Amino acid sequence: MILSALNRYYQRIAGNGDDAPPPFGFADAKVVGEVRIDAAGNFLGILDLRNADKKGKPAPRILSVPLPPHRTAGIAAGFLCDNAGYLCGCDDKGKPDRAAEQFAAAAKLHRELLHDVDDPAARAVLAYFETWNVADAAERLSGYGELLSGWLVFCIVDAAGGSCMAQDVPALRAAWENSLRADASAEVGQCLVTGESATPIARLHGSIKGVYGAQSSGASLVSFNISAATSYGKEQSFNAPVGEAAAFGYVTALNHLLRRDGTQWRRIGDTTLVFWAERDTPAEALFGDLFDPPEAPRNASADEIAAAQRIGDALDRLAAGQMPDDPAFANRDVRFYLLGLSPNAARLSVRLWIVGSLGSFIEHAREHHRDLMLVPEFSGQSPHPPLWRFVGDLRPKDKEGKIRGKNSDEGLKKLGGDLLRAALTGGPYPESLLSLLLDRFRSDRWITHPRVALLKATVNRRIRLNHLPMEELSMSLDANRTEVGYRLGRLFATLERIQRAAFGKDVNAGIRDKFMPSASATPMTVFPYLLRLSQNHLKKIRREKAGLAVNLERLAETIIGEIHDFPSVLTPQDQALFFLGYYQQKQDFFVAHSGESVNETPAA
Amino acid sequence: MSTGIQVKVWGDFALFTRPEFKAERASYEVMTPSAARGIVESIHRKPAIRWIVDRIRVLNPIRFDTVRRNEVSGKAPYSTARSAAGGRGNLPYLVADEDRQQRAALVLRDVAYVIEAHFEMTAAAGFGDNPGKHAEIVRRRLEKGQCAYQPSLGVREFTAFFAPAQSADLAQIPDSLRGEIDLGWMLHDIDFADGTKPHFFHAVLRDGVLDVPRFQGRRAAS
Repeated sequence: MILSALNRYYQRIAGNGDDAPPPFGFADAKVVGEVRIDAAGNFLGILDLRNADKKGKPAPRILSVPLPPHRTAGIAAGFLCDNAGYLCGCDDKGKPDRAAEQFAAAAKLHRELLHDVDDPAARAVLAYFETWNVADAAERLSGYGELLSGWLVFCIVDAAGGSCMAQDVPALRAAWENSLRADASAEVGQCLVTGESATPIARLHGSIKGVYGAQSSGASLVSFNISAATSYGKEQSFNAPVGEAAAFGYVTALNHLLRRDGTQWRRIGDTTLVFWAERDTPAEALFGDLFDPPEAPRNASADEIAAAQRIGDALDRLAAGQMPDDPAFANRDVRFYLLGLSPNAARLSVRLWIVGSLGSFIEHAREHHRDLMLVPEFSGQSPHPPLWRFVGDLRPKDKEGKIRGKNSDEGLKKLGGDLLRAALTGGPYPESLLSLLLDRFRSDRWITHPRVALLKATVNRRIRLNHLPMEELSMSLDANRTEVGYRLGRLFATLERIQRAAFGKDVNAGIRDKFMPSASATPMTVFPYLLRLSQNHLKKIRREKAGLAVNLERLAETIIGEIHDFPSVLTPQDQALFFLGYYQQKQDFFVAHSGESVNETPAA
Repeated sequence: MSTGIQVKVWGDFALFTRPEFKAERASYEVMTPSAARGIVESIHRKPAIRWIVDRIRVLNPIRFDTVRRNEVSGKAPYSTARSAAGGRGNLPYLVADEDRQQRAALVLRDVAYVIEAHFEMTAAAGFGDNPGKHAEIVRRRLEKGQCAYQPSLGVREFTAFFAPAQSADLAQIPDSLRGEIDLGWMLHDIDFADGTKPHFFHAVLRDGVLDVPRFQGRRAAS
């Protein structure tokens, strides 16, 4: 299903527009330079083809070249496009014997394919391979440095000064395509992607580049590189017969989706997610933003700001419980395919595979954003942060709020993937998320917006999926909620506020630092003392600001009014409500007492 | 005497491995006919009969989950094991510490199926074999919950529990599976008589029912 969907996508986009993936037998390679030869095959030099990219570093040029062979440790030459080791017999790795072997292999390949091609370019390339002397290659190429290890192509310069690249010459392309047909694997069988019988079966599939965390030379989606993965004595990809055309199709489609500047992939945690639709639709480019909104960069161009605004509007509507009215999302039954890939050394594992209509995904996005919607912590904070912000905030922090420790990402990588799965399918969050959040709050006592939003989402989703008799949590302070955990959180925020009003910002270790963990877990041991303490604080406030003291005391009394006793222990669910109540009450103070605080009123 | 049976099979986990994803396993959405045949054969198998799977009903919504497990990357060599069994040489062994590989798997959760299958007599049927006899044996074993070895849902570590199917099971269709769902090309079975060649068929779920076409190979069971 996965491979056939990718193959169908390839057939849909092949040959359509400038962004199209290469046809069968060709690939888009990152070429750094061209080997210039004249019509007689004499070496003229290597020209650097790189352009400066946005940051000013030289970036290779993407050109359509004959598909290079999939090689790991063996010697296999590429046709018309390869590194200097193969094309010139000289590499910068200091192994001249191996380079000589590589050159010999390249010469052999070109001779086989071009010996009967009647074209000046072909003759020039062959003459080059005949006359080039590997022995003094090292000296002649000493000035080229890093160009020697990147992809190079041939460029034939004619007498008049015009030049053409060898792989663009039609006669040479035709020679390559013919060789592919002749080279087709001897083994035939039924292709499990298309179902056609008697198709040549690919022995090795191409490699997928662009998955985060995988080998940079590319990882394989379909691979049998350990004997434990083979069956019935079959070798390599004969364990799963896929036709050559279908294998090329799915590999090219996946590489195309994962290209650097593509819009149809996202990375969350250890999962790289690609998505595509079954037919052309404007929603395809915006789909990723539904679940993982982009963060507008500092110096955004007018286009970027407009795009961010557009998706922001759609998300605002979703968070409010409505469907977006953007015409791009109008056609709701288009089928979307989502594939999540995770790296494991040289292999890729399928983490997520979800097929659904656009309407069902919009519905899940709506639930996701409504669950996460929470009154912001600072003004100017984006109402829809990207998903990595939520996961990133789960790392332990030190006293200043900086992330502590370098390797705190490891355990969270899987959690990121699970969160993504929950967002995309509307399913439950991982069970460990609630206890992880409570642990973080207790250990570093940073009650931040991303953490509390996740907490709210966890509780709401649990209520919804398990049909619990509790009302879902709202975005901002709900003064009528009677659950004891919520009220205790509000009370704690009020008591902290009283302390701060009494001592100003000079409090070194306030009640939050000293008492929050125990207040949330075992209220009965702590709150009576805190209430007595607050009386002392109130006395101090009354001396200067009598009105404030009255208001705060009244608020505390209202909150306590609904609490009959302090429970000795709070369940994890109640603890979640505690922290949510604390956060929402704290944010409410900023709104109400804007004269006291430095921050402006945040949008509710 | 009817040669067909209807077996309800269920379990907490299932992993019907796609052939293309053998290293990092990913499951098909529903049970393969090959796995269904394996389950039925664990209940009763004789050279005299050959099981043919007709239909697979899916009773629970399709739910995926991922697990990561530490496994070994090699296999004990078959020839060494064979000769050791014949008395020559020692049995091969694997040291797990030297060979570790962590492999991820995309598995199914909380599965329940009804397998409808029937058997045919083969050329190996002897003098005393007749359909009625085997039908009775199967029916009795199914009622008692007898099996030659515990059936599994794709891989041995995910055990299958089985019982005769009730009429209530046959009517159960989860909401998410109503209508027609195209599952693409799915492994039908392996032709052991033809160099273990796999055969694929186009699988479509209609209201939770997967109709399995007749296997085209020369011999389905080894």
